Amino acid sequence: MNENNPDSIQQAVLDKVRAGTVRRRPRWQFILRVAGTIVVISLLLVIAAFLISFILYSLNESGEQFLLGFGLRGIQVFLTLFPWLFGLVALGLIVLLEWLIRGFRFGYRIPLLNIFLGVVGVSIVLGIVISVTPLHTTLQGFAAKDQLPILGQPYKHVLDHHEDEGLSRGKVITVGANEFIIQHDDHDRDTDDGTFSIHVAPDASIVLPHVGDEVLVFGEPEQGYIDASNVLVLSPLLPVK
Amino acid sequence: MDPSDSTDEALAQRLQAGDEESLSLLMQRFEPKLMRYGRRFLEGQREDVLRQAVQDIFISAYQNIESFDPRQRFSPWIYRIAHNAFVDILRRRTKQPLYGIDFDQLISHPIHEDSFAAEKEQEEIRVLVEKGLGELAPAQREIIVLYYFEELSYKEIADVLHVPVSTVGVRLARARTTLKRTLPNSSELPL
Repeated sequence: MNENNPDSIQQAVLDKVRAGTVRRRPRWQFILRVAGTIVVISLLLVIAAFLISFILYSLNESGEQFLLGFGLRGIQVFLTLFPWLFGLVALGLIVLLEWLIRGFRFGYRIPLLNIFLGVVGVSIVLGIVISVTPLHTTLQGFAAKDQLPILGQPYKHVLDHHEDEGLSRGKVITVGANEFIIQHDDHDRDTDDGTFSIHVAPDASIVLPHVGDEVLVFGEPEQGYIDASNVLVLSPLLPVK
Repeated sequence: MDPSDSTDEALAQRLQAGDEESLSLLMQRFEPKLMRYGRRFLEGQREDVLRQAVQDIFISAYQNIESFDPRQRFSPWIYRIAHNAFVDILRRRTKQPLYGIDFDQLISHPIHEDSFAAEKEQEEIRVLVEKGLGELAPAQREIIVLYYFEELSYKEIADVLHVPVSTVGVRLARARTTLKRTLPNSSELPL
């Protein structure tokens, strides 16, 4: 029998086991590892969902989603202003999640694309759920008061005025015949705060907003005013004081 | 009941309970299989390296036996450990990636598991396949070895390679096509 042969593989293994140089790992180590992986998966999923919800909140709150309806130039500006960093980090987390899930039997038995779509789907659904809660509005409030470290800057950028890209946002304070004035204040007291005069061409089919409306103006900045090619009245999602 | 009549899973469960005799029995059963698997998968590998690898596989199996779920089959579990050990050896031997980006794992494919051919035919297939193994890339060679020589099912091979069951079918079909191209008499056999 092989076991009695000093050169045998079996004998060598048994010798090590009997000498105690090779030991069985306790069951709790494996349970802890699986539990740890599940915790990491859950955390990554929540972070990915949070990032997705922030993207949705940011597009909705800044009004940038409406740029898609402003023609080719609108799409170009939308792509420029899109929070790519958040999108890429979310994508990276989703890839990492897929890799972790494939460590489980049910994970590697499912084709890669199906897992990817599943993880993306769950992240988006969770992201939508988070985006309808008051979480982002609350965090936005903390950011405005400089009470939100790390995430404060991205939240402050949500309400930024992007005059150079042709996108202005503000509250209408006066309305004239073919013009109106908006005031922008994203509570950060920086250079994009102030009043802006918006000109609307007489032949343009743009309905002038009312005083007090929160508007998104798409148009190139001229000398001292903005020549509006599109004006969108937003619902007052955030109180602009 | 004589322990030597027990199933692999029952022996593994007894080993989990601390019965070292079960380890001995499991090694008796799997040493020839793992040596055979290694010889074919790692074609041209020195015998002493292979023996050391199989010894390491048993040690790893013993160390990790608590992670084995006795409700599952034991052979795919130990073949998985062997697969990892052999792939490590191949990685040291060649700088080329063994399993690069695998698009077969990306989407689902229809599964058509072949019913194993009659015993006589099976033997003929093995003899023929053996001749062509050297012509195959390691990844294709491995799947042929697991299916034709180790007689694992698609599902078990999927558990060894950690791929979807449908990917096993695609890889096997691809390996058969390569074999048919390299072996002149292969068209006469139901490969």
